[in-house]
Amino acid sequence: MSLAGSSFLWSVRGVAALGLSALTMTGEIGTGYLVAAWGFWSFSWAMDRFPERQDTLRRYETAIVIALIGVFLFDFFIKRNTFFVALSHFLLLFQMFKLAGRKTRSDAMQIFLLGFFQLLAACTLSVNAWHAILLLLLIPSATAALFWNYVEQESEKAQMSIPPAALRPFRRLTWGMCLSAIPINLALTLSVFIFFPRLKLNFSLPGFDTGRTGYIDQVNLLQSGNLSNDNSTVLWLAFPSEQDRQAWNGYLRGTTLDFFDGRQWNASKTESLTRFLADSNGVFTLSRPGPGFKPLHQMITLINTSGSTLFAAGLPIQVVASLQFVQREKSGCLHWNVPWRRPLRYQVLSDIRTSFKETAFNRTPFLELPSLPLERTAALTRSITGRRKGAAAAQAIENYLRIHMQYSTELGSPAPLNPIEDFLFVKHRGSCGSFASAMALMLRLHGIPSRIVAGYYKGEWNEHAGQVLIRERDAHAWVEAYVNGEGWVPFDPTPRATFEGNESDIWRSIEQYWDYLGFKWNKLVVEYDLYAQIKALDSVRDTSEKLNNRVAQWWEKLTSSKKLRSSKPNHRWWRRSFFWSLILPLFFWVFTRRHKSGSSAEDAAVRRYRRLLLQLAKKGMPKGSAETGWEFARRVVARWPDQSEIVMPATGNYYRARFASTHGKVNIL
Amino acid sequence: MRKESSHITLLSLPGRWYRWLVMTRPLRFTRFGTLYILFALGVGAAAINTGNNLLYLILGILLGLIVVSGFLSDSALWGIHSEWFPQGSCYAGRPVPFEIRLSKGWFPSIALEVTPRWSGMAGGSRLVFWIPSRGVASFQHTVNPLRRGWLSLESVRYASRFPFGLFEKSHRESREEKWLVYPAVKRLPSASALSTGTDRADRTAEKSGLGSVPFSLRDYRRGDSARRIHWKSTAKTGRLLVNEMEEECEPGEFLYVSHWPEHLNAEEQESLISFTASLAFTLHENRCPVGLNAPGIYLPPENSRENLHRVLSYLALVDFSDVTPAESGGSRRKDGNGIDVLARWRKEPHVARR
Repeated sequence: MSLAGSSFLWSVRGVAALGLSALTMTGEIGTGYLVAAWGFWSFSWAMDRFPERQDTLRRYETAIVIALIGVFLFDFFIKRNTFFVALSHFLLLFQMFKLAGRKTRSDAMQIFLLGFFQLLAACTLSVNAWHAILLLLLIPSATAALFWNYVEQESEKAQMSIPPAALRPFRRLTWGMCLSAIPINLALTLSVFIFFPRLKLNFSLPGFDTGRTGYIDQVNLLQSGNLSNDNSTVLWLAFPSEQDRQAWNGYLRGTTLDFFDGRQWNASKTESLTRFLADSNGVFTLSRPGPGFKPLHQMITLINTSGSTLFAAGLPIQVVASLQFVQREKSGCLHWNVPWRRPLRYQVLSDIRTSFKETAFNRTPFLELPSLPLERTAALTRSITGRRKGAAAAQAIENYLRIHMQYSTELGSPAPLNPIEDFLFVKHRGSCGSFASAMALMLRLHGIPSRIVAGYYKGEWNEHAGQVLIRERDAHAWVEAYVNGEGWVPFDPTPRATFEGNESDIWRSIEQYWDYLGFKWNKLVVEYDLYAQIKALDSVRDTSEKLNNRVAQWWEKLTSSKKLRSSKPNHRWWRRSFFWSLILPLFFWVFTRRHKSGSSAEDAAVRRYRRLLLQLAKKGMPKGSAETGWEFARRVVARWPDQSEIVMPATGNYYRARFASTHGKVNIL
Repeated sequence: MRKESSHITLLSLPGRWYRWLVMTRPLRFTRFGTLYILFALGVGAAAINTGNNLLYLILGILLGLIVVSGFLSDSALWGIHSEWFPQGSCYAGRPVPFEIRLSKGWFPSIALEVTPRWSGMAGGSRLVFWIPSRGVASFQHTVNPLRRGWLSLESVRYASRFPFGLFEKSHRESREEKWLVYPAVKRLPSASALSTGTDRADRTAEKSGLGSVPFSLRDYRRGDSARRIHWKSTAKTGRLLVNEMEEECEPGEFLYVSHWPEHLNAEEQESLISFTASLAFTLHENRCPVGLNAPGIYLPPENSRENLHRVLSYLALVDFSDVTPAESGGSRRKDGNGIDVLARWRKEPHVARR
């Protein structure tokens, strides 16, 4: 294979790898597809050793493409995958077919385009910070691929390959182009990114809208195996002041679950959601603050928007978000229901009193018990609570669970028919869901209305970002009990110390810095919208005004100083020398360049002659292309005898300058 | 050494700015480039519709590649200089191979299409695959001039799709080079070329030389042969005088054209010119000195290539409307001998007229 051919193939493979990497990082593509695609990518060079088999594959190309289109339609309409997921599957399969087959120039170009489309699809599926690196690598890869495609194309046209003497210069040229493309491309990309208008028209196309999946709207006690530590980022939580951060108790409420069937907790189907619209300032006012209102401001950047829950501490009173509407449960939890594919930034003003009452509270749903044998649980509850009632009883249950049960993410073998009694009397260990479920059930058995709250707890403070980072591993479940006279009071029966976990300092600081970079990527790139654009332009304007003022002040200082006032000639001399120090080198450079090309007098003669021709042409006497200079001069003089004193000498000078003789150089052999 | 052209000032700094800002550089989209632009527009529309900032980044990369392509294509296209050297003399109706040497500046050139524009003639294009940086590449280009006269190269167009094949950029360099195309010549049979009945031996060179016929008398100089002494004149004058002999004249032919007949149509005119040129060419090939006595020119016979070219040059540029008669006296040559081209041409139509 020629240098151009092999270089082209490798650069194309590079772009294909970028596309595959991007799709892999979205986490939305089936593992089977990705494994197969990577396999084909890794071993496509080996397949090139069997050209006969590749030719066989090529013979069935049309049938294979039709089959792949069928797979895409099946994926999209029958399996009801989203458009871009189905498209990504199709692109992966097509790319595998192309990588396996014989690679002509057009085949290689198709692999390149498929890789590019994969990158595009990945950008619509996720906004991971890794995309920054992939897009940066795309610049030199695409430059090399397009260049080698061009060389191959021209080689085919000219029916010749790169001469051996030119191999090294070609390689150097490619490297030079790829490296020089990076800064130019980056500069233009940033300009387009910053200044291109963020109109966000949101025209919807059929099949492109996606439904929302619910966010952990259940606590399932039937899980087996181990709970893995998912470190993916859920949200960033910022407070306007350190006092607000200290006032926060660490809990972010997500959703409340009040229906327990003995195996899992779900939100009650009778629960109605109240829809709120924003006012003219974009503020959703959910309720009025009651007596004893304890405000807490939070600014939340929700990264993982796969659910439809707006997390907040305490009871949200007001929300500021760029949503059309928000829905609120009776418990105060917030949701939304529009397609959202990028981080959502919103602000919440919450009331973080320890308890809050409900008006017209209906206890019945929160006292329902599952149809399971619960005698042992009831007996245990009686033994724990004794004669205590209300908050004291709840406190006793909470303490009992904290002391006598162990937190563990190892769920073991499949749970039995009665997971609560299995947790309380057999295993004595479980996850936060087990603790919360057990406590909620025991409270109900004791006649105290209770529900489970699913949300997040605590997270970690990131010094670089100055915000709290909440990860999926911080997901937590706790209990709210309705205590007479107080309202809903939160209780957390899960033991804290083992639940929080330990990590080494070095790894933690690396992880924190990487999280900070991801935060910056989200803030500066993913969330860059029209307002940010206007703000950026305003800041550019402000900076330029400041700079202008500074320069003016400096100049003022310089010109108004006594020394300069008293010695005016020095001032002028300074100005003059500054001016000449700029102009002289430029003039010298231009002068030497001009003189490198030949005598300036000769050039001047040529230029004068050309100007003369232009003027004569304007007057209606253009010089014919086959006419010599002297023939033309005689023709001009014949028409305008008074011009002979101008035309003849100019023609003579021209001939002297060009041909070193007055009669001109005639190429006769 | 590179030939400096008059527009070298374009490469100096002000010229570069002028070139970048003002001069038009014709641009033509290739098929791939059109698809690329449409694709970029699609990505832009998707970015504006969805507000997905990553799509804006990809749009920026696509546009950035176009800008990079623009910079590089400019660098590959400018700074090209060509020199055209015909390989041999140019005759009408005969292909003329030109050797073209392309030199380049600091940036190399890949797949450059060179298209010359000749006056009154179609010129084919040629793809030059590689011109190294500050190097030279040569190639052959054949031109078939149909008519005698000036073959002028009006301009040369350089076009390239470097570096990505998205656009074809071109640049036209105006030239002022001309080459003289001689009339079409044919090798005539010697019998028809040479005149009959001409006594060549009677012709004299009218100058002293190494012949056997006395030409003039001069004073004796040391080294002169004693046999040359002209005793009669020596006795008369009292000093030694020697015979100076006349140069023996080489046999040569005068081509005589009394006038160029105006009544002939264009084809006949060209036929006559071609016949005249063919005569001169054939005589020269037979080592016969050729002279020409025609309206506006008198060339004594000479057996030199330069003389032949003078004859052919005259014939290449002769204008039938020029009514200047031939040398006065209406004689064919000064001593009355020569080939009457007109008469010969009329007599031998199968030779004269194709």
